[in-house]
Amino acid sequence: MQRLLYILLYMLLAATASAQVRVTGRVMALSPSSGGVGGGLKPVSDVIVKLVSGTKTLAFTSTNVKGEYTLELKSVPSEAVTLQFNHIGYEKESENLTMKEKVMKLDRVLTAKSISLKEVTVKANPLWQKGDTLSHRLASFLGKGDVTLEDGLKRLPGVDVAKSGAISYMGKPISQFNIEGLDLLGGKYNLATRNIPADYVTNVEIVRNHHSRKVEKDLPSDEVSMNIKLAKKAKFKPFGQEEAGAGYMEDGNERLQALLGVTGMMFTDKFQTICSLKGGNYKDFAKADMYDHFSGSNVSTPATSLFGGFDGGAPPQGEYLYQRNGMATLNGICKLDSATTVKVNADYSYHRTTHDISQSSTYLSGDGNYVTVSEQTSPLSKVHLPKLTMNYLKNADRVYLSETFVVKGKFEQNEGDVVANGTEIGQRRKTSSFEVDNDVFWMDKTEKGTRRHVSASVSFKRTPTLRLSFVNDSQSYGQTAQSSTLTMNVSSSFNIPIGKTFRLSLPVRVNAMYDDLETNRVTTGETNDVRGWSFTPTLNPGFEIHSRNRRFYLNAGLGAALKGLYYNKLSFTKPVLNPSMGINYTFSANSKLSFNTSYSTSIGDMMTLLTESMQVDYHTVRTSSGIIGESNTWSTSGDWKWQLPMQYFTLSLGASHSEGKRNTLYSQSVSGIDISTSALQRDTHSRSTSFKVSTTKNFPSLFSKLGADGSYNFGNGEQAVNGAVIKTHSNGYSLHGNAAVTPIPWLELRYDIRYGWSRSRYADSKNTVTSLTHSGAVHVFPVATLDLSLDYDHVRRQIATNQYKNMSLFNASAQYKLKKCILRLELTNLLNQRNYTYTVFDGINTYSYDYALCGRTVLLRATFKL
Amino acid sequence: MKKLLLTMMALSLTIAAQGQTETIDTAQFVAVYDYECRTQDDEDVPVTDRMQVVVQVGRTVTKSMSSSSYRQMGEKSIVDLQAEHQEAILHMPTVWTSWPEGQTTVREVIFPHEFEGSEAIPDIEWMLLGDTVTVNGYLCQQATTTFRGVEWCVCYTEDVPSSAGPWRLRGLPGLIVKAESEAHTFTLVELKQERLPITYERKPDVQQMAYAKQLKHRNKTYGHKQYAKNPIYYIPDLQGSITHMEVYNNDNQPFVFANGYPLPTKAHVYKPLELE
Repeated sequence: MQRLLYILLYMLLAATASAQVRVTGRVMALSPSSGGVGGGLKPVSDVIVKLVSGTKTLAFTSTNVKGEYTLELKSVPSEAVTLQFNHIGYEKESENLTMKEKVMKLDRVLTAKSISLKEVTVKANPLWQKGDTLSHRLASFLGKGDVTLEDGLKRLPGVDVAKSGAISYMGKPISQFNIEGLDLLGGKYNLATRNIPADYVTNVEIVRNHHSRKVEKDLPSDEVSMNIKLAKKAKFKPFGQEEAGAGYMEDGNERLQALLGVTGMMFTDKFQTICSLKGGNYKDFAKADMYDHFSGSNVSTPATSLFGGFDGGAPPQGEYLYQRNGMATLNGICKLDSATTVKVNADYSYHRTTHDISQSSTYLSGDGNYVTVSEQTSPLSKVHLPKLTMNYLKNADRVYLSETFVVKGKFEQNEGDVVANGTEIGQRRKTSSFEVDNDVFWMDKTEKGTRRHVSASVSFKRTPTLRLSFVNDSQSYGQTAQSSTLTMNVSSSFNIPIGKTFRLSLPVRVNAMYDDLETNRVTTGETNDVRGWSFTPTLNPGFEIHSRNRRFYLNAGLGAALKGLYYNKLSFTKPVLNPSMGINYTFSANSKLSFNTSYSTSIGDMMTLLTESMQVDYHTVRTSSGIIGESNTWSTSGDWKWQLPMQYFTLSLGASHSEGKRNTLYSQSVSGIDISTSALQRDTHSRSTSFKVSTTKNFPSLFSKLGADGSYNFGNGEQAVNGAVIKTHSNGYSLHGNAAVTPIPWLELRYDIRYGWSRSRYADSKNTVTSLTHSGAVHVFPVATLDLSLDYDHVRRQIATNQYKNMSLFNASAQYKLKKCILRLELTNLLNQRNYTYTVFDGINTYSYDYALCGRTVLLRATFKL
Repeated sequence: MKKLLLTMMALSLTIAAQGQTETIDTAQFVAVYDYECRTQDDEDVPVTDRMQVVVQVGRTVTKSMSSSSYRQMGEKSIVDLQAEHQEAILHMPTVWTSWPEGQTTVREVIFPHEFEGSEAIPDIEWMLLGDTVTVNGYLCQQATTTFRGVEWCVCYTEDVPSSAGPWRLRGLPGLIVKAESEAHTFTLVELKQERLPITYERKPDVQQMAYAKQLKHRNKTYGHKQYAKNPIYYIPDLQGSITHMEVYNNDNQPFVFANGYPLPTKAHVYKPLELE
């Protein structure tokens, strides 16, 4: 039986073998030494031998060093087949075969050819990811008309650059801006992004989960930072740019427009500097560069906060300010060793602004009627802002030491003459303030991972004199104030690892603040004189748990504090607990989920003790209740961020909810056109919930970027009008989309659309406001160096029930790039649109604004590379 | 100072090598590939390491090497040395296919020694798929294989009639344009006709062995769980094994060459290109 089986198996194998087809042969070529004349043949290895039927490859192999090949087919092909011989150095040969025999032999002699290879160079990857760092090769994203680094940043996936120049990544504002790894400018990074040419930058690195202190790099972080890598031509030698421009405004307060500026910079391995001097009265030139996105050059004291300037607000669209700005800034950073830097930033800026506004405010009075106040004003402010910052920083893996000294001042004058319901009232304000701060922060990390930190900061702010004066029908009245504030913060913490996944932390902090505030209402002689201490020691024992791979992280703290207020005869002490908890889960470097919840208690400050009346502006008198306000808020938020960097896709989802309780209620009283505000002792509750989503997608091959985001919010609160409590509800949503597309190389299109809907209601009254804003730009490049553009903003806003106002603003520009110079002709407000009107419902009050816009303007500017 | 250091480095490399370089073929063309390795760092955080691999394709011999080895033929700057040091983290060997005749030769540094293994050119059994895709402008066809325990999916183009590819991947009826496994990706980024000699350097200090033994040694050394945390865990007497050492500092990033080879100071989890 077994024998029979073997025979059958043998017959089967033989039958199978007989179905196989084998093609063998040898491939040769004429040897160069033979001069191409017979006999001098040599074998050719690595020739690709392919048996194909139509476009289908039936079998393939390559020749060995002897030029031999063997091809096998499992069955005889029914259709016609071709045997191909292919080698990069020889002419392609082929032979049609009729497969009649099971074994075929076919030799071939190839003819050498000169290699004609389609050489390719694939552009370097536009985007690289290394851990948390995304490195963008800027040149891959730049458009033809882009000039500055800021123009380039706007095109990067997930990156958003606001009108103020603020940079955010996936909705999160960056917390540090470095140039070649050094933080030269702090929050004034507009100086770099608006003055460094885009072609001087090779790479833009976005560092997610950024740690400003290297000793904390094993902790989870939600921060994002940006690092700029410069091209060789921007290193080791000074460069810069000079700007000059002149123009004319057809209609408006300042006809002649001019700008002049020079910026110099130098970047070496150990030293960096950017210095700039600019001045002009064209838009925000010489002001925009000085915007500090982190701290600000402003000096805010209790006196200046109580009695602010006569600002008329701002319309959301269009140029409305007549400005004269000047600035000078010197910035230098020196690298002492790989971890230590010394930095000096010295700034001075001057801003003079004015604009024209008509405002109509409708207030609900106690009897259910409304009081409307109509005002026309042209607030003028002149501000001088000097600032000096010095910083020593050692930021090593095991130790961090930072010492920062800041001195800054603010000297301002305001004029806010107003015509209210036909009566002209004069308003003047003059004040000067200064602030001196010193901040020391030390942290180290032992070999076992224990972290310790000590920090101390002292700040002294003073407004020696603040004077407000009003003239109404030749009657004078006014207000004076002065304040001094000394703040001291001392804190220390220990963070001890227990095992590989658990840490205990024990932070201790003491905050002590001495305030001295005096106010004097000139007409009535009412005076407030509050001085004393606020003292808050805080102990926040907590723990951190993380998984071994550090993907899961949970931290919690108890937040025990003793809040003490000791002003004049008041002695108020209250212990509070403010627990908090945070959870992060990192799915991958590109996907992260975070959840935070906290309970906070805010105890009022000495401002609530200002029980004597204060004249805040010509028609507003403010009196505080004398009740120490207390508000407790529970906030919860969750975020999920997901991105596919290599597909240039980002998505973030977020939700937040907060509930609050206060022991005082904001109260408004209206009498005639005078409005007074105060606080009532009554518990009030508020609640708000919001959701947001945003996404971006880039198509680098098409130089295109698409983005969309949306948000929805709802909430409620309480207010009192003339003693009656009113519950207010609000909800609203907004949708936003934008696209920058380059359909053909000489055309670029940009489009942005934003729709907003909001509703506020109280009692039986409902107010709904919608707004639709869309803007677009067309850029045409007849030649690569010439950029002709036309852009527009269209706004449709509700100004009253069933009443809308449509407005369009058009601008045009022509830009021509030369090797060393860029010429730009700008035409602003082509249709000479002179007004912008909109309405805001604020709970129970309605405010309608009508802003005068700057007239049609033409300006020619030249930027020279130095 | 940098020039002096570079000169010293060049001298020390020359002395260390004491090798004899012979030309074994002339490149018909050169293919440059971006190589990515998706792995984790010593704290298990995902990272992607990158380098470029240059393949010289001759009439008979193909040589695949790191881009810094290819540049070594010319002048080396401190930046090149730094790049060479950084590339060491990826363990990309130099591979000669058809050298010696019918053999594949693989040379690599497993600090502090240099190893060279030879074996008969392995047959890679490709399965051709009918699918066509366009990669970097080339019309490509797809093929798959399992080579030494690692599954590969590749795209090749018959527009370039060469059976060459990056590293040891080869044997298709066209040049490999992209090759991808779970942890590794090679992508063709440049193709140029650079007719430079394909060289082989005979080094007396190189430890010769059968390739199977070399592969086993490599996977055992780098595959150890300690490796990512301490890349020289397997050298108990580090000082004793170093005969000469050069320390460089570029942009405040110091790096060290010992015995003429990059001295690894950091490592990521080893992802082998071959398992067995």
